[in-house]
Amino acid sequence: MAQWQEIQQLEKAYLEQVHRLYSEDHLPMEVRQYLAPWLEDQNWNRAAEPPAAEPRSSQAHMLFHTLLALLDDQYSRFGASENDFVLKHNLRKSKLNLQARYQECPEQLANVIANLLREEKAILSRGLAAQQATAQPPASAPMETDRQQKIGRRLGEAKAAVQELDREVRHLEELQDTFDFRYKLHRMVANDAPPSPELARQTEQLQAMLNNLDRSRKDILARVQELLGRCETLRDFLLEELAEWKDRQRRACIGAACDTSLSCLETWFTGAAEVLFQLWRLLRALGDQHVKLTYLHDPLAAQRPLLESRLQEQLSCLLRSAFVVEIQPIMPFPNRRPLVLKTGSKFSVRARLLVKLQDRSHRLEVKIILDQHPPDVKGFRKFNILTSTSKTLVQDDPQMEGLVCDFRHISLKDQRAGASGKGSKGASEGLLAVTEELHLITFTLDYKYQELVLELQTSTLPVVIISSNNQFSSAWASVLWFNMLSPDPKNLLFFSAPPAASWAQLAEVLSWQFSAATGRGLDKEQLHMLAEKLFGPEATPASTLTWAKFAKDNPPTFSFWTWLDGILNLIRDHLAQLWKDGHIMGFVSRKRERQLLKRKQMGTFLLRFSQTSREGGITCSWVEPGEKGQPKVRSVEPYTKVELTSLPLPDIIHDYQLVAAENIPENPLKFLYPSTPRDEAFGKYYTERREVDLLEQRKYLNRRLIRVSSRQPHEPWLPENMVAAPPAAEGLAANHLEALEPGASHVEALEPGACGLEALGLGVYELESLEAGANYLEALEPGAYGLEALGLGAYGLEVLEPRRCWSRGPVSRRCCSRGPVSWSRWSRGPDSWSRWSRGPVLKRCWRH
Amino acid sequence: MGQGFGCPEKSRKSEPALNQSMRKAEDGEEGREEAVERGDKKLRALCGVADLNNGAIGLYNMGLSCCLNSLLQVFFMNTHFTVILRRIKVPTVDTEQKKSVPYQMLLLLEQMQRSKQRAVYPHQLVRCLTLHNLKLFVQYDAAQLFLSLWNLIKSQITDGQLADRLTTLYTIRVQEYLVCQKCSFETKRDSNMLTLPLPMFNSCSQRLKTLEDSLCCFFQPELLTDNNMCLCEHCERKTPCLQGMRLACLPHTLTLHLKRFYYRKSSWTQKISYCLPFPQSLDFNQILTQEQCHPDAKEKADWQYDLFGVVAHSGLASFGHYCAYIRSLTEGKWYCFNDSSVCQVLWDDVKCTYGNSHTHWGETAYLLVYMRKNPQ
Repeated sequence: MAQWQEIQQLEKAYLEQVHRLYSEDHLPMEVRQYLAPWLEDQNWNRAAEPPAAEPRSSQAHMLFHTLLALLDDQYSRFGASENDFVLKHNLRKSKLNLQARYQECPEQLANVIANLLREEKAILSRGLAAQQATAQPPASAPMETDRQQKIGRRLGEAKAAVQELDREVRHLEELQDTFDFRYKLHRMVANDAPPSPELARQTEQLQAMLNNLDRSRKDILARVQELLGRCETLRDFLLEELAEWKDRQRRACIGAACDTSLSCLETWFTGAAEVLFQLWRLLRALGDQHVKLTYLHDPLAAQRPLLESRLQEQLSCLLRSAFVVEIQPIMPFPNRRPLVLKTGSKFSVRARLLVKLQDRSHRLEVKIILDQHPPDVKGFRKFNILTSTSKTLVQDDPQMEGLVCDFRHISLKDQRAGASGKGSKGASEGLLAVTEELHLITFTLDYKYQELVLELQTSTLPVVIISSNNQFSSAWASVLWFNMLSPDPKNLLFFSAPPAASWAQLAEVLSWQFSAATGRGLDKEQLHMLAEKLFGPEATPASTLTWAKFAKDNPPTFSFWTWLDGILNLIRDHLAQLWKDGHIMGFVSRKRERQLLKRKQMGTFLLRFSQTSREGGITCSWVEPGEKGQPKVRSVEPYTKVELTSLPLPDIIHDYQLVAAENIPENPLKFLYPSTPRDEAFGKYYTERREVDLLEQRKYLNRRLIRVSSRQPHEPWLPENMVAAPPAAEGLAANHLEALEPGASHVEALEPGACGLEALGLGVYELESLEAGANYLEALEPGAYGLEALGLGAYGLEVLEPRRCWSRGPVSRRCCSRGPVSWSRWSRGPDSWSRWSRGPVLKRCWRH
Repeated sequence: MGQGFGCPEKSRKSEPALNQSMRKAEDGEEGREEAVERGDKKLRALCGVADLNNGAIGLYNMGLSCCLNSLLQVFFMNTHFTVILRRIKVPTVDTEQKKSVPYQMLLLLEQMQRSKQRAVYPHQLVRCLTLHNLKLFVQYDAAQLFLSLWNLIKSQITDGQLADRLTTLYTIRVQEYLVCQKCSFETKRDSNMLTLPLPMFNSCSQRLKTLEDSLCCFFQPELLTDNNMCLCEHCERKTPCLQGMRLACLPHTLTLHLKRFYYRKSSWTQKISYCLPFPQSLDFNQILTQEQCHPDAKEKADWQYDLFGVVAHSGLASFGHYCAYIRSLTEGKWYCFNDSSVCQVLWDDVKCTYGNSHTHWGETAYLLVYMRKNPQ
């Protein structure tokens, strides 16, 4: 934007300064206003201070007269309206004043204008600085860092400087042409005519002009030199900014939530490249001037090559670093875990050039290569990239921003076709296991712009190539370890001697795994438990874990990572919402669990991940009164994906029953730690129960599965310190899948434990006749009463009448244990059931 | 850019008498310049908003004289130096005036301060230096040229006391020692240095990481064996010796010279452009051990320095350009002097001269000038 326009947008205080600047009649403001662009485009400094020997103020004279002519021009453009009348008058007056004042000394006017422009510039920069300072605090956008502000400012300065240089180069050309013309004229005359004082004076004048030219050339070169220096700093800032982006991207790859947008960097890189390319054009223009006219000790001859080399180096450096991988290779499934590729599976990857210049006339083609420089390791696998290996950079794709090259639907193929994979070769052949072998995908771009030809290259982060899905977990462990620890993003032999990770590093990365998968990371307590699990009670942030301990399975035991990834899968597939909402404490040691629960109300429970399950398991632990009034903590055998697939955890919790010899079955899970009532915490996750429409005739009664544990009276609770013993570690033994809720053709009911009581088939007929359906069971709270009730039913229907009667535990147990006999007896009695089937009555009695 | 140029003005006020005498010797352009100045002053009084004086003034490149220009700016921006320069006795004879380097420097300084241009030509001074065999159109090494220039100035200051002041301002005094490893006989020798030539590599050819490391390495004693053995007076034969240096006195203006150029047999001079960071303030008490200081060293508490100037080289060893980054002593702001172009810069720009192994044409610091911290 033109200086004058910018000035008018300044704040009041600064406008006041401008007004003061124009308060004396050195130059009327209307002149400044009408001729703003022209005034700003002239070299007033040189007109004001011509070199000593130059014909006095010729330049100033010329400018002065042009100015007057332009004013006339402006004057004639006014119409005849009333408003214009005053303007016309003022402008005429200004013109006459100027003429009267500076006719004899136009260089003074030049000096005044030069000073005014300089002053304006100073006011402008102060005004803008103040604006920036005040605009900073309420900015809604994320706070710019100090460096980002510096980059913005510097870029602005560089652009302004290069514009000014551009102007000067043009003036220099004019100057040179004038000299050239006069010199040739002079030579023609001098050749023919004998030496005369007139000729000598002309020679002197020409010498002065040449001196002036020389000075201007030196000036320009010095300023290019200066601008290059400033740009070098700018470039360094940009590289630092880019390095931070790369670091953010690396962390984002392994799950951190980082902003990896490139738009800011693109603006900066493009801006910087534009400045440098313009400078490059200017240097060429200077080169042309040098060809046209040169002389002894021409500064252009001595300094321009140096400047060109330096500029070219800067440009190359900028462009090379501007070629980046925007999206690291990723397979569409399973997502969120980039950098692991499976042979034969499609993946995508995107490269981007941050210098996005307009009017590119060259087609830019990107080639993709896998393992350009494979490490010299025995057994290092080789792959082909299938389908296309080159693609054109697209500039104006409306769907994407930036100058990108999107490789999609490409896949890898092992070069040894039909090879059985590395696994079969064993460790003896290759140094590295499949999941520890790192590969690089490299992009090459032949860049061409304005006679600058460069080969740009960029590489992805190392990828792990697997051939089977079961390698995925350990491949991901490699990706984590590498990106957490490798100082060199291209070190393909990282795993030949992988460094150990400190707990501080690892904790962060582990937490990212959870937050990336579910949106909730690990809290301090959970991490503390993991640290203790890994390092024992003396864990500190500086404790270190080796790669082998982290991820190497050593059958029959399994590694920390295998365990954790199992849990991650369990959460992702079955517990995402519960985990996200923070209902799962998850990582808590048994000791800590006891500490927490003992102090709580009886019936308080928490959810904890099993430490011994390879697949990932989750268990409930609750506190209940034990012997001698001591609170006891009990846990149920962990649920794994096998169970959770058929029954969601909230429902399990809701319907959970403890069948005990000495008391009636009940749900021991009453309050979620610390003290949230169970249904309040889990209510919204319960599977919706279908209310039975009594009027509707239904073919089946609906049913649901519930979980029950029982305790044999002869089977005492383990002493607490022994609870950790492996087989029993997860709590009550064998509670089996059991069922209730009448509805289907039969009801499965499992007697606790070893008895393995098979489900008893109630004939369809019988159950249907129950009619009350689900209501019946729901009415019974907690659900497992139903089991008892059925058992009771065998005993005699009369007993059922008042609810109190059949709720006596021992009786029900007895009848239950009679099992088959009584059931079978039962099932033979359709008549008796049909009596029941007068729903409403019966229902009432169950309900009360 | 509205930067002031406070330092020389202050000293100008302190020496009005000299200024008067100087004026006469100036070129005849004064009349016109003054006229312009009058107009300027008027405008300045009118606006009262900014300092119209362009401040720091550049020097035109007279033909590969960027090296000289940079050094001159480092001299001129140093008020401690200009105070001395302004006290010199003006030679009476015209031919002597033309030959006197300090006098020509003084003239140039005056010219720069009164110039309305952004830059001036150091014509006279360059002509004067040519008389002393410092030719134009020759690529100079800044460190070498600094020595030559300084020696010329010093030798031409006729006032002995003033010359001593100049010496104190710039010279580093060290004690070199040689200890025979056979008989522990120690030979000592005091010597003066203008610059400390600091290595880029340690004795095992490993890259030094920082300026501090380089200083440590410089003062590290070296064991001379085999071919390098020295004659021990005591043993009366060549013996392995330990050679080292003890620092006795550091001057107010301390010049450090990074040995970025090195000669390889059968090859051109090469430039080492890798990164060697230097600090803005330097405390020698933290760098040197007790043994590396002279036992009589006084004022050790004053061995605290702030960076004042950097003479930076860009380009190749045989083909390059010099510029100077100087921190104005009055304002504390950094300026970059690039021949006729002068601009205010930030410390970030100065940091850019640390060097970079990936670029060959960029600016790298070559001479570092540190100034003793003010006691305040």
